[in-house]
Amino acid sequence: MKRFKGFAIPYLIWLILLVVTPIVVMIVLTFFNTKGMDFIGATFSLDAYKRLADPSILKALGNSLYIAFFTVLICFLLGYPVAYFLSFSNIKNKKLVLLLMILPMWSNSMLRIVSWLRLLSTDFLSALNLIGTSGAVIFVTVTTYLPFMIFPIFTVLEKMDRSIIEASKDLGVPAWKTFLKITFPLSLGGVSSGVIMVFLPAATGFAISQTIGLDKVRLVGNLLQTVFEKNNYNFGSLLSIFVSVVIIAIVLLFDFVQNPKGRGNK
Amino acid sequence: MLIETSWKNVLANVLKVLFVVLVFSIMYVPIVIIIYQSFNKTANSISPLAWGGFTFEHYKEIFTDRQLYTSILDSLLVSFWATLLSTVFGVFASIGLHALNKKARKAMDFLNEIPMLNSEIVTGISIMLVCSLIKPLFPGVFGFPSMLLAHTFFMTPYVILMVLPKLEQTDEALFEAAQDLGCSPMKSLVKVVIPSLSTAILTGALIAFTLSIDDFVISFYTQGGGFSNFSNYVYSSYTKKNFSAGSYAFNALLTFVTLGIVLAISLYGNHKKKGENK
Repeated sequence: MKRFKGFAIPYLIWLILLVVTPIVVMIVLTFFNTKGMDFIGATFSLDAYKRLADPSILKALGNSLYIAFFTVLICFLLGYPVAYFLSFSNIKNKKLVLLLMILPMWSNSMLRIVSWLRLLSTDFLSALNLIGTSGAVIFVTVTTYLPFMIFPIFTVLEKMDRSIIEASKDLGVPAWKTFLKITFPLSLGGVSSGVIMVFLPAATGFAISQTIGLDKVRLVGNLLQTVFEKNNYNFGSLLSIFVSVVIIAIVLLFDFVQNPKGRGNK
Repeated sequence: MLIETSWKNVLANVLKVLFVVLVFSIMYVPIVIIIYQSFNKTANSISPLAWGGFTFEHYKEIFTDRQLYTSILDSLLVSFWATLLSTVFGVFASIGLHALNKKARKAMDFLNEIPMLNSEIVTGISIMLVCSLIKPLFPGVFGFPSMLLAHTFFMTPYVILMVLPKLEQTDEALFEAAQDLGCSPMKSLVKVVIPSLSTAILTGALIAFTLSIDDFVISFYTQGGGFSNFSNYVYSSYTKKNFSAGSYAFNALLTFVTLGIVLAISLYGNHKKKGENK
């Protein structure tokens, strides 16, 4: 099927237009003082770079990484056992259980966040003063993205060759050791997909921190949103580039640590 | 001794089931609240979740609250077209990517990963910047066109992610055989190769649609001209405090319908299995 090389060209052009153009526009914007996207009367300025040194920026980034780290950790601690128990159980209707797990995701995520907020604001729970704390933000983020952790792990466990585990049992290796030496290492691919899929939205979202965190928990997403809302495209662009570089670097680093030979050579 | 181990096994199994049920119920808490609120007369009152009596009023609002039903229709419109476009686009891009040599393939794979690795907020801002650039030439870009562009952009890599690995498993001989039997290369692609990928294509389309219909952040930056989607309607009406409980009703209705379909399919499946056993 080598003759269909040409089919990649429209997609290449599309990616260049929509990936490369915005990066160029953002880089240009960081060096000027414009009103939104309006370059008329714009002057050269390095204000955006000066503002990047503001301590509130580092604090927001720190908050984001803190929230994302604990969200990923809790999702893993809850999601791995669920995926494992489901995959290794002998229930007849595994597909139905799986569908029951997807079903909550078909409810609108924004409405689910609003519902949590209503629940946390009831007389009984509001006495605990949970709204506006990092803990509540982490909790709601976990419930929103947990399926993203369970699915990839479950898929990998389902595809795993069970005869290897049987062999280990037959050789008299205790169950916990079989798990640590065989099952878990073989499922790492699913774990790393899950970690990345939960980490990305947890670190960069702004809806949960705004509604549940009541602007007391400010993340980079909230910062970006306010900056663009105030029409400061110059600083906003710089912040976007900064956030992307940090987040992508973390993901690539994680990928490298988990699988040093690179993605293609699994 | 034997009795003791089986007793331990039972306990372990009970704990496992309890753990799974507990995690599932946490995920179902918001769904239960949504359904509860959809029937609650005082769903919009200041004291949260107080029961004010049973009503079907909110279900009527789905058809009478103009803002609500426009946002629902807008969501469906964008997600439908974006799913169709990204699926077709993703399938052809996969075929193209599959045909590339190793070096070109690596570069394309990297570019293709950017929309997935980048955060939603930066993707949204990026597409907004591109649309602002073409706004002088095409003043009506913000609204349906910009949202369609953004959704197709972020969904296509997911379709490729599903289709490309399946394509790599496809036997080249299948394609050759079709040609030996007198098909043109294009015809063998459309009649033989693409149908063999149908499950992967369907999965990709389903994932794309699910992501699109639920998207908030990317649509937040690309909405405009009175065109928005359901997530953004919920967000803006909630922050502006004119939230309509019809949103709960719409979502609950969707849950009932999907639950009904799921149960029907599983019952039908069981029925079929029993028939086969006879």
